[in-house]
Amino acid sequence: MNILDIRNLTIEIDGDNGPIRLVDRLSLQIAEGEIHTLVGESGSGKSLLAKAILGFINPRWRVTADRLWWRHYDLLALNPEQRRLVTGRDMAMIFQNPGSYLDPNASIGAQLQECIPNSELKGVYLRRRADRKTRAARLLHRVGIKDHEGVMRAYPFELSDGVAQKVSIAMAIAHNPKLLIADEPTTAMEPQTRSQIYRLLSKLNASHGMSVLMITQDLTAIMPETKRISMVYCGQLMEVGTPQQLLEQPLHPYTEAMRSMSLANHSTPVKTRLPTLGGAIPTMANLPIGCRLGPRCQYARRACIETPRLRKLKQHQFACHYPLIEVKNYD
Amino acid sequence: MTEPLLQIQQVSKSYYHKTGWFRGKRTLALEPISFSLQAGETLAIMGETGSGKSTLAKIIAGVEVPSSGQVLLRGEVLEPHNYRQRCQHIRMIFQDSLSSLNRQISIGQQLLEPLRFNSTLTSQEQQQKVVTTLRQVGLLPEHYNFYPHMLSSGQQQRVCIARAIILEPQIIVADEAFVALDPSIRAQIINLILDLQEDMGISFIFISHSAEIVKHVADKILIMHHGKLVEFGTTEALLTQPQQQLTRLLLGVE
Repeated sequence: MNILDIRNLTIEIDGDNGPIRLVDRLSLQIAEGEIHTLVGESGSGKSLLAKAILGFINPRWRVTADRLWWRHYDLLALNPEQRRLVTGRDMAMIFQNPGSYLDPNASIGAQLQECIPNSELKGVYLRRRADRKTRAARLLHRVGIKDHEGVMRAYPFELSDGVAQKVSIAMAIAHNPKLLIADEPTTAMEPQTRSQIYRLLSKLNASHGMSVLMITQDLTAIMPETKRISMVYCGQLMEVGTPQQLLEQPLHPYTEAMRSMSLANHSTPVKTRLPTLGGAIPTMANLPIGCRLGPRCQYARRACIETPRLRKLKQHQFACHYPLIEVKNYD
Repeated sequence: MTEPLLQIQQVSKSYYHKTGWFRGKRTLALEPISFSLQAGETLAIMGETGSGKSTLAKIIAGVEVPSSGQVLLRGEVLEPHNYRQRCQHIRMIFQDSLSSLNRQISIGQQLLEPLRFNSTLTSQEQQQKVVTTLRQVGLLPEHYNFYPHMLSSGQQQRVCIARAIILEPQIIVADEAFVALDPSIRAQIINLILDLQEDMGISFIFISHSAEIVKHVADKILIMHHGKLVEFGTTEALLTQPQQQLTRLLLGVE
């Protein structure tokens, strides 16, 4: 069953020449206990999508959607108060640079204890304080930090990237969320630290049934446990499918380009030019009409000035007029 | 055997920090290290955080002064603090391109500056040189009057590369120059660096923790751990017969 169901989410802001669509009719479904990866380059609106789900919405944005449901709540119909209660109870988010968004003035222990909701504690004043401390230590153990006393005494600048990210995961899982949104948690981290964080998230996913929406830039550095991948480019959904489908037989030229330009596949000989997408990512003010990949796509033809519909071929969805393989029987 | 382009001889770096009013402690960030590099080769430095790889790159580029040892370029000692001598031959590219550019002056002015201080060209020739360099890195002459914030991150990184190659150096040191870029832009920048190396015969020294990029670009790999050189050799040698556990881990070799 889908716990998060988004259909045609659109985010617009007013620009100099009329409204700019930062996110253009994006759909996303996450099943209970699923690890879903959202892959997109910068400016693709992937962080905006995460913010729209959580409700961190700038008043200048116009968020519209055919459906934005979290379990049985229609998030767009709730008033801000109710929405905050729902999202605050069920969702949590972690960010890219843990060292920079932890409070530099407070020790890790103090910040972690602040995250534990009062409703979880037992007893009266002194008892609650002691309980808070033991719970904070238990949280650190759960994310794989053994030296809880040392880390709780430390300040953010004293921690390495990996440990700081683990602390932020501990803060996020303090109230047992149903959905964890991880916004590029491992970009600019070393491969070893990255695989540690991935292992930790998949362990939490398996033991608590917590769904994870992982947002990342690189198609080839995804979590191994990912069930489905959504490719986003400039606010438009390009392709959705399982990792096997996308990495072995992509239907969309964008996925194919991302796959072939990565160095992880060993087909490119050493010291040779890599295949690339020409041009640069368009800026917000000059988004192309129709399929936004159009100007950079080598297969683009006249029909591409119209936005392609998301088409479905057994669980494999794609939005392209000219898919890479001849596809019949889609709907 | 030709003379190596760059020779590092017993270079080390230690920091002194106070622990009391009259007491202090020395920590060795980089233990004495020696290696050499031939012209046109690419050297990748890999290691975990705090392994001293950035310190080594900074010493080569002249940002830091080594505590002992010396850096030789074509048999000639590079004096620390003699920036005029060094910056003609060794240039550096940083990770965050926007913060390493001056946001207050235009791209053209920024590229003119190294020429103004280090060359004997007339101002007309300098302008011409800036325009050709902009073209060389895949930008347009119109970008001369742009300011850094008007460019995308890929273009900013191209400007940084332009600033590095404008004096036609022999070595470029790149400290994590690819991490902050999007995958499609990263591939373009790697292509650009490979092209420049072919055209101008520049040696690259780059720090990276991405095993894929290192395998693709590097001729030689230097692995560091806690300020010590763990392993140094050609890419094939390290990939086929790694001697150390750390090498296997960092390069992802089974």
